[in-house]
Amino acid sequence: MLSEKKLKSISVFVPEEIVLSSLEKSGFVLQETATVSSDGKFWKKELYVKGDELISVSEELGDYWPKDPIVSICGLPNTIQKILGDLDAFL
Amino acid sequence: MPSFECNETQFIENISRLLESENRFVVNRRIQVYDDRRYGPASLPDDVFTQFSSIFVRKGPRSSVYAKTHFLDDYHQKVYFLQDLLHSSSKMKYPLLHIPCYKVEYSFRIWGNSYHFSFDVLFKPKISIEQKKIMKKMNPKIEEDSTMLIHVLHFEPPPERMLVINLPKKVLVLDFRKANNPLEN
Repeated sequence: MLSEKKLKSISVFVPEEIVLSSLEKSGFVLQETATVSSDGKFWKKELYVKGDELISVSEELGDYWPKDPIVSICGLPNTIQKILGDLDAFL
Repeated sequence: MPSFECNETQFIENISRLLESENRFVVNRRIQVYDDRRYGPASLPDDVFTQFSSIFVRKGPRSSVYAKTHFLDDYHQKVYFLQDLLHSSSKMKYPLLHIPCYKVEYSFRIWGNSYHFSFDVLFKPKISIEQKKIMKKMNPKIEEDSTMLIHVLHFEPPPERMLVINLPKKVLVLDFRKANNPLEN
């Protein structure tokens, strides 16, 4: 039986480069970027795609520290587990 | 009816929990273009301002922005000349040149409470040099219509996939234009 897609959204204290390298290692490809404004802040939103699985990574723009990108995943349970595992390993 | 404002993580996690608990609900979505002077070049962070740096100049974030060269704002059909003020640091809420955006609003209702998440996606600037017909109505300083090579600022709408929250297919999303609540009148 095919697995159903699940949702997961987390804010992680992991540099954006580590997040992106985990996504690329899992076969996700950058499809689009946009500038988004939300919560009175500006964000760079990147959309990564692998088949019909989608992950968006939003990082706040400007001189802020620490950076805590928001990773929102609409994907298979295995994918969510793998990405969260990679991010946990960094922490 | 209590109404709660969420950020992206909270909103998606709330939907995820409702799916896990097999509750039935509908997600409402409104996407509208706004060009209401909400975003001007002085309020942009440096990373975004650099996209305009071939035709705009400023000393730093929240400083006044001036035209670096003559250019045509193709979206608003206005011409600006070298050193024209585009956004004054003393009038941050009233930029003379403004950036259009899509306002995206998501909400769902459950057990008498409503949960909201909204964000704006800015149009992307694209700058080129083109032969354009410049008309008197584009700037009061123009004395007569003419055709010339000029920098052109285009604002390109972001693709639809950047305007939506990615949700599993079993989540029913309904689009709407205007919310009417007769009880509020």
